[in-house]
Amino acid sequence: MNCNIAQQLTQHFLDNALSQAEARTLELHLEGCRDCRSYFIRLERTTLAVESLPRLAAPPDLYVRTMAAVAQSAAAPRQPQRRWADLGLMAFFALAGLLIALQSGPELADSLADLELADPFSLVDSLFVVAASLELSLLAGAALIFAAGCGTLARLIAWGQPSPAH
Amino acid sequence: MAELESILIEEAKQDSRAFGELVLRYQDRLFNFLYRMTGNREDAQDLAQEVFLRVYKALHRFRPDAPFRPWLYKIAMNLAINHAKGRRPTALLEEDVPSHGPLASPEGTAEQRETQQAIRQAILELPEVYRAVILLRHVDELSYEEMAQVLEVPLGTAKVRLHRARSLLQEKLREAGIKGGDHELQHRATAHPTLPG
Repeated sequence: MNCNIAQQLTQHFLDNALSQAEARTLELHLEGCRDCRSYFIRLERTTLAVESLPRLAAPPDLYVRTMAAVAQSAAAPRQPQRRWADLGLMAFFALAGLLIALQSGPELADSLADLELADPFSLVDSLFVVAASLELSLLAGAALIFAAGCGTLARLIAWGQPSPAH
Repeated sequence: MAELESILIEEAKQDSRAFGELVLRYQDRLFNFLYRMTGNREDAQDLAQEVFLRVYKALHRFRPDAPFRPWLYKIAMNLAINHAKGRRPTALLEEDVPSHGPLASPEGTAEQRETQQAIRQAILELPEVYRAVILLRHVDELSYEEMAQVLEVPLGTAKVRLHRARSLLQEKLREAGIKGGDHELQHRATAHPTLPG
């Protein structure tokens, strides 16, 4: 075993992730390698030293200050501009939907009338035909772009508000 | 323990006073972590307050089945790393007082204090990510899985970072001349009590 592997095994030993066989291999190497033996002891000693550092208590006023800040945050209305922005976004989507319905409704009715539907299956088929028509696709695409643009606008209105931490 | 924490978190979503229970539960650990990250009590206190406030504001989006502790430490670590950006490495000016915990003792020889001082300084001289990894594992005793969640990396990557952090730290301590010369090391290694097999 070379020294690089011995040093890796030393790390795994400190992670409690060595098998018995690996531990035996490491032990044999350490018996014959002064550098790796030094590394092993230094690394273990370092780990123990970090673990034995005193744990400090929080200053007494941390709780008081934190809860005052929390109370202030709880009392403040939560992002009112964002709410307005969301409402605006919803309104734009509704408007876009309405426009589609108004534009495509009569065409749809005409198309359905032309097809002289006889049973539910042909109705479903005809709906697919109508939905796939170029005119309707263009209309829907335009409405989506319009809605996306409005959404961006609404987000811009909300921009500048603090966002919640992750 | 985890169930009690889940209940506390759900209550804290509804009631800011219940959030106080979470603060009490974590304030010492969080302050200690941030103090070891920054080396400064005032900074640690300010950052701890900011962490709690951010947690409170984002708590309504926290899933009940998600682990809370890694989330808390992730916020703390990121804040501490951002805080350290553009600053010069911190030199320690203060002693670790007051302290508590099973390993904390007001007594101690001058040699022990000197060693502790060197360790604290060496930790502060590590790059922030390695500093955080060492503290998360060996002071805050997070599991490897929790550590990976805090770092947002795969488990193997988290372990590699910890190994690198340990190596860097022992190197710094060796440079600082912390006692443990080769003669003594040889003596210990020949009859090492903790190596299995």
